[in-house]
Amino acid sequence: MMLDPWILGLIIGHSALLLIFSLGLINAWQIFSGWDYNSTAEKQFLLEKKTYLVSTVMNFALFTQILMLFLFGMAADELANVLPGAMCAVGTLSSTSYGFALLDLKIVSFFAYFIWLVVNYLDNQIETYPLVRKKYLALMLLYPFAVVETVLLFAFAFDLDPSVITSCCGSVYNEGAEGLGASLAGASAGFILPLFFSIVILLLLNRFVFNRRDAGKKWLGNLLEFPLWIAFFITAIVVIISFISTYVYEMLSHKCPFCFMGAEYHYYGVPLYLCLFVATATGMTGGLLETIKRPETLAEKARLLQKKMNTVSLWGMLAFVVIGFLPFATYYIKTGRLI
Amino acid sequence: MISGSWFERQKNIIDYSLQSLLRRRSKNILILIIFIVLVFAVSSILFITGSLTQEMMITSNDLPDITVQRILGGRQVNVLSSYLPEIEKIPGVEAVETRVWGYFYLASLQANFTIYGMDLNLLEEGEYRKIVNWKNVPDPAENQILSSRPDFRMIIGQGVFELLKDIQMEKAFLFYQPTWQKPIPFDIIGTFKTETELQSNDMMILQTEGARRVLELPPDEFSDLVVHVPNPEEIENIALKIHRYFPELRTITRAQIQNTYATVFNWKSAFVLSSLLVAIFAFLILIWDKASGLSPEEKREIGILKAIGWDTDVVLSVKFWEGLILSGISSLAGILLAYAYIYWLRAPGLREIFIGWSTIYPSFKLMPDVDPKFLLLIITISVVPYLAVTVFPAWKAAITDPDAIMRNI
Repeated sequence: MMLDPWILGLIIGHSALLLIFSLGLINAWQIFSGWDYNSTAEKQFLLEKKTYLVSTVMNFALFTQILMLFLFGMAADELANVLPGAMCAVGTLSSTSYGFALLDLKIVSFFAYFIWLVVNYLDNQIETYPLVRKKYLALMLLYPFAVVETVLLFAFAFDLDPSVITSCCGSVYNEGAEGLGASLAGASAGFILPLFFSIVILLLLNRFVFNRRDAGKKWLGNLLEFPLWIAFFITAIVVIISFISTYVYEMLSHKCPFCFMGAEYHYYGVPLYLCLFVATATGMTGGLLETIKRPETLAEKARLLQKKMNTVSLWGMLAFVVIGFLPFATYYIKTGRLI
Repeated sequence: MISGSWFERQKNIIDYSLQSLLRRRSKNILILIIFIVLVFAVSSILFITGSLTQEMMITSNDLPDITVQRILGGRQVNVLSSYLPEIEKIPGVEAVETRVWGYFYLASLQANFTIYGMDLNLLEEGEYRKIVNWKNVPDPAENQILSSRPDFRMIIGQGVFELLKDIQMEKAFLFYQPTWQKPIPFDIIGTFKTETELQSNDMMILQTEGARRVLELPPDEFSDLVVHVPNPEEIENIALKIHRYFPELRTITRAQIQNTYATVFNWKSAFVLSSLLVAIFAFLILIWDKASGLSPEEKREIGILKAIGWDTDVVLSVKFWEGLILSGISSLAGILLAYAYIYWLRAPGLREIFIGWSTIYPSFKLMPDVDPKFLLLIITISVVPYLAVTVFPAWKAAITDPDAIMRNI
């Protein structure tokens, strides 16, 4: 189903993204293979100018990627009107085998772009660009993501068939059903909530207790943040599906992580996901910045930025927990019982 | 070097960008106008699709839960009354209603009317009373004539009324087919109000018995059946069941009709949009050309800026802000223009593409319904490609070497 305004919009956006990224890739390759800071040749001079182009390109790519993530969610929601059986984005995404794969890839590449841009920002502050080769190697490794995304988008668009009945979120996120969605929904609150909060507590402990006590082990604690934040993101999604959603909809059978982003639920999901993404992106990056040790000037800047990132991620996490458990709290206060 | 905090810095850069845009007024105005036209076109299409879909969704809620048709030789034929009790027996079915309807082609006007048979007495009493402008409310003398032929009364849509007025038949209409012995006269007792125009424009609601005469429908047969199912969750299942019991019957649920309409509207809008792609592409080439061909003054300006200590970064920011200001203004103007065009002028030209195919075009009012989602889509289609195209020329301009310029002064 290519002829749909939403699909068309996504294709235009992705084509622009891929085109610009390709431009970045060519220049990144040239910089990667020809970089020699000590050279005074004209070629090196030109390459240094090209770093500006690549930075601009990547800024554009990240901006477009965020826009596309939003647009993809909305398109999936909007297309549900057209697909029989689909009632929200879940129906659209599960109607082809590419839908959820594309969404997952988009989320992963969002984080990857974000980390790349932070590193790039740091590196550009140092006159000698110490990370230049690693940075551009990473960029070249990111390119396949963008290609696969575009290919998946086309496959998704071709595969969407308005005459095939799809399932709605009520059946995908239903404990009785089979599949990943069902097992996510089936994860009992008694199991996932302690897991989620132990990760949150571990993050807080790591930040405030371990780091304060033993300065020598500080690097380990900071490094640990990276896997911890990934775990936080994944468990948070499971908590949203299996616990938070039931209190938003006040219905045991409705466990959908998309429906509450709409106007009927006062766009509740928008700040929720915003906090989750901001917290995870900054938290992960903060942990990753620990790996930057040399040269001294760069490491100094990295520590400074790391502090900022850590603060943002902490507040983001707190906001997520508050927003996420607000429906539960109001429900509990109003009725005095659990669902 | 511009100093101060980040915001102050950006403020100064924006200030400079604005000045720079204004200085090259003639060049930028052309881009601005084309950009506005483009955004206008894209948003008009999206707005009209949005409000049509919205209106369709609202009105189609009154559609029957399940429509049952009989298919013979791959074509729809009349349904026999023998099916009625069988379908009524299915658990979950509240009632089965029979329908009598068809089309009447009036060769002299080249117009096709939709004829629908129902008990007009119900219309006179029920809540539908409000949607009809009752006419010819007869004085007692005339009333006698009317009541003497209660089977030959009808209510017509506004579009039909306009047409019939031209041939002086707005009070009573003669149905006639060459194969008939004599024409069948019908009294027009009312017209539908304008709010219902999308559905009622080409409608003639006839008293059922009269409709049977006009449509030449035998007494034991109906055009199709309508099944009422109170529980929406059961509709799909019951439709499948009916089809399984009577493979010759075709069932159409309300959800299927809504999906089909939405698909058609989306398809139409995407079709028009994709024909716009050529225009967008041409615009992008123009932008590329304008942005890469720096005039000597511009080059000198950038050269001087860099000579007095501006970074490549800052010049890039200036270019970025220029693009953002330009596309921001054009998007805003284009969207507002589209809003006025669709909802105040009622989309002349575009309307015909999206609605109606018969000789009577419904002239209904489009309900303003702009979802913020559409704004994001408009930005994706217009602003993103624009910024993408300007990245490379902007960089090219920003890396201009001051000494190369100075030497040429």
